[in-house]
Amino acid sequence: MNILRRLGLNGERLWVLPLFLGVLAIVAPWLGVGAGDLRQLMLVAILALTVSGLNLAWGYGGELAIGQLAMYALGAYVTGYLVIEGHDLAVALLASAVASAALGLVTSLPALRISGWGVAMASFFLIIMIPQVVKLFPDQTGGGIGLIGIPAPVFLGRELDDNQFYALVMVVLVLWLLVMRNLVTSRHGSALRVMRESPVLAASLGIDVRRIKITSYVLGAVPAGIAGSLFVFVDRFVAPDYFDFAAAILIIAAAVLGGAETVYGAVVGAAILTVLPARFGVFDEYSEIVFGAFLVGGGILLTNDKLKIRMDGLKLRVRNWGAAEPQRGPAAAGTPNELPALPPRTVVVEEVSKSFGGNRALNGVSLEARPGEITALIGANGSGKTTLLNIISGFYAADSGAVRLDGRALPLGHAVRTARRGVARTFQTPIVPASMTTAEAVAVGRYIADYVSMPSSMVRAPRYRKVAARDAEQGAVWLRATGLADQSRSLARGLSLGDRRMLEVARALATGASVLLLDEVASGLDLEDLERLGALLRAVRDAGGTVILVEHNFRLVTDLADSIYVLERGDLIAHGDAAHIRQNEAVARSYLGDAVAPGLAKGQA
Amino acid sequence: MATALLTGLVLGSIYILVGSGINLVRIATGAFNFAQAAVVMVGAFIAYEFGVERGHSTLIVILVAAAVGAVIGVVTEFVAIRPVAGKGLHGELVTTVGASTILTGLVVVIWGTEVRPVAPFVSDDVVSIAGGRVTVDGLVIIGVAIATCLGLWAWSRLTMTGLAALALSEDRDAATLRGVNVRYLSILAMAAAGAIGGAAGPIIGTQTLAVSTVAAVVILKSFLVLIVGGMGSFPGLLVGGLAIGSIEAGTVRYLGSEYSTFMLFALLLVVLMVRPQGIFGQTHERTV
Amino acid sequence: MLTSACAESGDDAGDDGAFVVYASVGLSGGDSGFAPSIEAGIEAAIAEINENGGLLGREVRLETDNNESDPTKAVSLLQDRIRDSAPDLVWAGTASSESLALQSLTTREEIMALNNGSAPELGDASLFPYAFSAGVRLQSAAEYLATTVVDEGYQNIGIIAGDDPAGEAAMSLYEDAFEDAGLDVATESYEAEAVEVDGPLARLAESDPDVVIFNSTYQAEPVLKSRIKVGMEDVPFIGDVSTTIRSLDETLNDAEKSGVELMSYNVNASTADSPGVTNLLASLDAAGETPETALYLYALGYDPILAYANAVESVGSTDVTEVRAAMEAGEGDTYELSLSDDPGWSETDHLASGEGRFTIIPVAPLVAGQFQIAE
Repeated sequence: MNILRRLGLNGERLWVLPLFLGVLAIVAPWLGVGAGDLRQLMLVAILALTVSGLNLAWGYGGELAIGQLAMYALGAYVTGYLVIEGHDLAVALLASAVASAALGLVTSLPALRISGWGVAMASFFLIIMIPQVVKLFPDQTGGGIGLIGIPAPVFLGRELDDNQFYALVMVVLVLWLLVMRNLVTSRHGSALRVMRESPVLAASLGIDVRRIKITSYVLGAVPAGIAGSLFVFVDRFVAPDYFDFAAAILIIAAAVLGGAETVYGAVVGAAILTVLPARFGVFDEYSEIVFGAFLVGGGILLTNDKLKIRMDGLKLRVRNWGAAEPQRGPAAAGTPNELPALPPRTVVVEEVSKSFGGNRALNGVSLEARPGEITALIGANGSGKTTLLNIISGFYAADSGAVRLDGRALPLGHAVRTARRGVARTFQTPIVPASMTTAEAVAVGRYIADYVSMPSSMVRAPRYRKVAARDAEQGAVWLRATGLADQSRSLARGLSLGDRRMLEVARALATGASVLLLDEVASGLDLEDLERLGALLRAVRDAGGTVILVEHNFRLVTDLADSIYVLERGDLIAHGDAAHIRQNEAVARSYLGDAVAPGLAKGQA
Repeated sequence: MATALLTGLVLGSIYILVGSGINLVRIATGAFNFAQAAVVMVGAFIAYEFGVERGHSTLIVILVAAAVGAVIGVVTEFVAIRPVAGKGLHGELVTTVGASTILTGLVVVIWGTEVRPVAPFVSDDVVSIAGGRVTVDGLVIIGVAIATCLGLWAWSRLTMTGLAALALSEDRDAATLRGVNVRYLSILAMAAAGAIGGAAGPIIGTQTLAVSTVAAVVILKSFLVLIVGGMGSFPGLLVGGLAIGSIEAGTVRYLGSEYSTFMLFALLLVVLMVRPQGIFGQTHERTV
Repeated sequence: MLTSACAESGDDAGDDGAFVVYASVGLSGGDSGFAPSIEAGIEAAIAEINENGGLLGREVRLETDNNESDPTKAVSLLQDRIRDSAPDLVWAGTASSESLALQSLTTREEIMALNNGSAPELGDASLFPYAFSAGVRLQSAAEYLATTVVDEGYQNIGIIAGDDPAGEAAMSLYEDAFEDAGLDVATESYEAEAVEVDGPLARLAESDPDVVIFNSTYQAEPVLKSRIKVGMEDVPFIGDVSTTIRSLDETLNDAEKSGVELMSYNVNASTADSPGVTNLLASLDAAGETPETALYLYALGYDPILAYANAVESVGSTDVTEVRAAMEAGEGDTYELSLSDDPGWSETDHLASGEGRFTIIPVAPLVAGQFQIAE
């Protein structure tokens, strides 16, 4: 370990280890590895490429788009046809990648509307249609019998022998894994996880779910197409028999066994499913049973909660290994530091009405939230305050009325565009995606404000590096401000409720917004956390932010808010500062009369 | 026309019978059980072994098939569903496919890959109804499928256990907090689904015969019916099954068999575009 | 099956002077329904050769690998085997995709590769010069069917076949052969794994055929059950050779069997009595093997091995080029073949000719590999 460290290795740079292994694998033929083992390694690599595409869309993006086999088959047929026609493998590889990306694009279109098992079903159809589509082009595909007479691979004008072709396969795998690793460790990986966890959260951060979904389908298709292209030379024969349902199951099983939300797990899963079942043949007629038992056992083992937690912990330790210890102690966890100045923005709600199926939720409500002030919305359950928050943040359209930001109307009902205008929000139940560190969970807020393209992230272009540096710097500001600095490298899911609420505030502010909508941000917090929260919100206000607070906790509201609006069944019944509201009879009757005691009790819970 | 419709209704009823077991498990455990069609296949082979080879009565055959199905269901629950259900990783995509593979493998080892006869349930005579021709057993399948589906629907809406299961499917944590015994329900559902699947075997077997490849053919169509009808919905299963069976048979009859897959795919896309949650499906969108 | 050694056994071909036959068969997976029969046929042939003093005096040893009906696995296993030391003769898979994948390899390595396919590509000597199959050219089967329907006086012919590769190949060849014979033809395909064939048969019925020729790689029952359902019980149906791999006797009722005739290889009929068939049955019996499928599948494994042995004995060498020429010329008569006296391989086509191999039988019970036909 110390030697590694002296070499300048740490968790952040640990990717050189898989790269080293990859290079070893590439040169394996010249290190005396036997041809039989090389063939096995090549099959592992080809399966791993396909699985890796699945991991991107499914493991990270959460889309049950499990039709990778169709892209694989397409890649194989495109290459098979082209090389028989005498084209170079380089050309065929490129054509296969393009064709499979196009198929990925086509399949992503229905998925913009469908989700979950519907996508899975559509994927299954894609797979069962492979032989039928192949039959439509008998001259190019060889129909049901298959493509015969595939020549030896010719790459960039020179014919490759078995070892050279093997090396080519390995180079492709290593390059893809590098690119994939760069992508998923960038904010795009975080954005995929956010989409998987909650499209609502993604929209609130200004992330265009449609766009990222399409991208994940297209990118997930490319390695599968390339794998299919390379597979052509494995048996020098391609037939629909290769692309049956069992093959699709094999890909899914490899993804699950290796860990779908991983980069290198694809290789592990592919290795398990290539090497082990190769031995099942000796069970003769029992081999199917053995394979089934193997799937059951593997599935149970690899989705085991304890194991997953341990693996997540281990991964985190590896990533954080050798990194500078985050600041600890009171200095780091203490009161919020000064915040950078936020541009002043005024939110004006004009006569907004909204009904849900005949139920009037809001009835011509108007209010104004000014920069440098905390504006609170209170009212009993069903008074319409959360509805109003959802309208301002763009999740609902209003039936009538408008919301203006600095005089310009906000696009009601368009959460993404609203978020991009600089309106950020938190949620009643904090939405914190799994397997992200606190720092990542905050940095993803900067996805839109400081955008880096996917290609740029994949090759770690200078632009990416600059932005990554800014991510660290800006993220640190918000982490310090919310008192999360010493937890920046922990898993965000594992934070306490208070910290998760702080995280949501930090993430919202990281988007660059200066209008902050907080949905019952205090519920469930203890006194200490409430104090932290109060201090943070004051700091945001003092920095010039416009804070809109939807809250049950009356004491917190009267403590913090500069301006309070009281809603009752969709009507605004009072407006004023804390002292004014406390004395308002209508408020006392409607809200405090029966709710003040529980409200206070809740605040102390 | 009438014959094609009847053919379609029989086909659809097969999908419904397989789908009802899947739906039941889906409601109670949240998992999609890919092994359900394999249980039906085992039931068909039991019909061959006990009905044809040993000459037992239909009642005994059904009871044995249901019992074996229930045992398979419970074992599958313990081995392939409980360890992975509710973790959001879709581990059941692997484990229940594994269970299905094991069942198919066992059937091949015990009975081989050959097609085995299954005795007629009531009669394999062909009768004419409204100008269409169908076997008596075909009509039985339609009746049994409709009755099973309606019965399970009534169960889920009218009985305490059924309501508990529904509550579970809506919100697992909340239902658990309110005292719903998740484990018990899960075992019960898998046993019931297994018994239904097993008992359906001798009936479906009158159309498909006992053959080891039938599970793979039927499971995908049943899955399709569930998606189109709406996962977890029994009315959706019934309507979806009968509709998809009829459309499939109609397409094959009037356009040709080569169009049926494309037609069903188009149908799937159209339905999901209009109603992503399926015809009778309910959305559980996260409220903000 | 006890005699099948594993490839892992370690001793190289030729170490003990034995002649090694390497068989890649799908004992599990998609081929498992018929591959064991073919393997048993191969074993029977080898047992016969060894009993007769071996091949050019060398003992013949069979090494079997279960390729799990997976072409890639089959190629991996054979490559491993070749690296140990090349086997003298290869049985190249039990399904056409395995055979095609394996023969890309055996052709490069110039190893004689026998198989049981009947896809035209497998018999193309310009693609695979060292591959031979006892599978019959589909054209021969088509011509036999055409002659049969012409003799019966039918004019209007319906053909229904599964949409699997074998079914489609059969259908197009049948259509050509029938049209060449001046018959009117209507065709319909059905989904090979469908549980009923009502729709396609109803479509076929619209052309009002005098007779329907049907094909089924998976199972013929749905076709014959649907035949009654769509009201075609009065139309005679003739199944092609794909329908006599196993018996339909137990899975059909009397109404479904009535008016149905099946095309079969002679070897499958209890009336067959050539010396080759007698030898095959005796060898299987000696090995304690009771045929479970039609005898034809056993013969598919049995005949090519013996034909190869005949060629080797006649040229006195195992040189692939010499043996190939001898096999194409049908030389040697050390062993009697079961399907016909001579496979009828030619210099361009290494599939068997169909002469004198077929017969038409009713639906009949299958006992010990043969349909029980009343004399």
